[in-house]
Amino acid sequence: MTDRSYEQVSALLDNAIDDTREQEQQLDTLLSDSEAQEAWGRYALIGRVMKGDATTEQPLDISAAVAARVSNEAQPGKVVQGRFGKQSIQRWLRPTGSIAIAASVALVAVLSVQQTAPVVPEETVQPAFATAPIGGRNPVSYNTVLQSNEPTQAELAQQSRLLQSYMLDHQQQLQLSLQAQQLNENLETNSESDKKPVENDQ
Amino acid sequence: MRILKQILNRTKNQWKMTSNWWRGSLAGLLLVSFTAPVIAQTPVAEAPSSSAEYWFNQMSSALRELNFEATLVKSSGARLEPMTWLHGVYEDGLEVELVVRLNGADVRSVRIGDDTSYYSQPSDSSYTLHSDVTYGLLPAAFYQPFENLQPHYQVLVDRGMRVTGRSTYFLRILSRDNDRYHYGLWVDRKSGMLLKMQMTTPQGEVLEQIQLTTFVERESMPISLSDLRGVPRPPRLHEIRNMEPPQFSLEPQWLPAGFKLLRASHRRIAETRLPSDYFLYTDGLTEVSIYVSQSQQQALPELALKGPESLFNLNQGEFAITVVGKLPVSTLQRIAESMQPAT
Repeated sequence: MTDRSYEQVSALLDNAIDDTREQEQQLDTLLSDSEAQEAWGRYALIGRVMKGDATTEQPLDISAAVAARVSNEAQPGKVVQGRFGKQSIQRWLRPTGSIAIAASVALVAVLSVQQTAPVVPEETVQPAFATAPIGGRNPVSYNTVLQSNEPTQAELAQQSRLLQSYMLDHQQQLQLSLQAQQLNENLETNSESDKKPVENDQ
Repeated sequence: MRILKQILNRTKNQWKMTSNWWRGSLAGLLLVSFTAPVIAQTPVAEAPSSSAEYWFNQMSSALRELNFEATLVKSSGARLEPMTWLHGVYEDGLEVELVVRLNGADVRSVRIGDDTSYYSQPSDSSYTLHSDVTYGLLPAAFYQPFENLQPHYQVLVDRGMRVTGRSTYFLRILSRDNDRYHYGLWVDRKSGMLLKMQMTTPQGEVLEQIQLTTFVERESMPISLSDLRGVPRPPRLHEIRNMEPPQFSLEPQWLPAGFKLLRASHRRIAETRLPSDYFLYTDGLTEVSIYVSQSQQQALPELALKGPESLFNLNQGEFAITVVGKLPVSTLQRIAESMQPAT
């Protein structure tokens, strides 16, 4: 695309073409040119971001949505007990994790979107890097991850929920382990640490 | 789009003005630079390795002792998170720290001494942990002397670039093998404060960054922190004391050198309630979680997710092994593949 045609896309987006015939012609060009459509998409997003209304409508950051969904689907946990009674503890433990996990969730989503382009199906890579967005917004790319049988939408949703929960659980455990460290309750500070030496070959 | 161009032009003009001003004061800058390096360079020139540790330890005490007000941006992958970061010490020596996320949901953490509270909206999701480190900003190891990270990490010092308008030393924390991530730290020459951090792969790809955008050191506690001591704290999280021991008797036969077992139990993981054996290992700087569950129940394909926090899933016989942590995927894979029945 030339600079001139980018300018036209931009003008079209701003409704800045007075001549209706020219406008129609531009629209036709836009509809037939995939590159122009991409430019349109980008400009429209930039425009929304500048006006400040992209965050509410556009799934730029799906972490909150995913966290909310995961916590809605969750069943009561019993990891933690407190002096305020079990029920109230569960009520605030659950969102806790969602907050803690937010960063990683978004990250996974972003990463997988970026990876979709360069990953051409390549049998040699074993195991393949997951290229599917966790939110399942672009399930097509999952083909590169799974060997032959394509999973259904429901299976994908279940899998992404499971992956989220591993990330979330990991974050929760890190926080709890900080507390345990402070209270000297981690294994490392007990005699048990010598129980199981790990072999290192390096 | 036209607005964008206008802004661009305006910035160009400003730049011209700035460079004129800069040329004017060049003579003055030259004068300063004749005198300053003599004082600043001495710690580096003498003993490189020990002065690297010296500056690392300066940083860890600065994080505990300084009174400061800062703003920063944390970036992980393509995600940017701006935050305010305040720290101070009461006259009786009690530490107080406040971290406020500026984008999206209003999440704040308040640390007073050994108690850290995480406030969020709605307020019933807030909680308090007994911990003298705020989770989510910096690795806990940065608050402790460097000797805790030896011998599996080494630290090197170099002259750093200008960061947040200040002269810095550049510290590199390198693992002795290539099985974990490296850190780059830019530390203020004057105060020892951490001004910029990068977590990179051994190949140098940046995975996570923190950049302070403003940093003001105060003589005494920042005013906005002074009344935090009386703020109501959310309830405290307690863990069940008697955890079930692991059941599937699979254990890792390989981990990078220096990783120690912190926790081991059999429990249901968060949200999905999948019954799993759980192991948490740490090398003092980073942690790795290992989950073992029944393949039939888990039903995930073999896969890897790569990012600051990576995940590797492997099916081995009737068990699914999932390894999560801030480590290269190749390391996670090797850990997963080393899982064997305990002898």
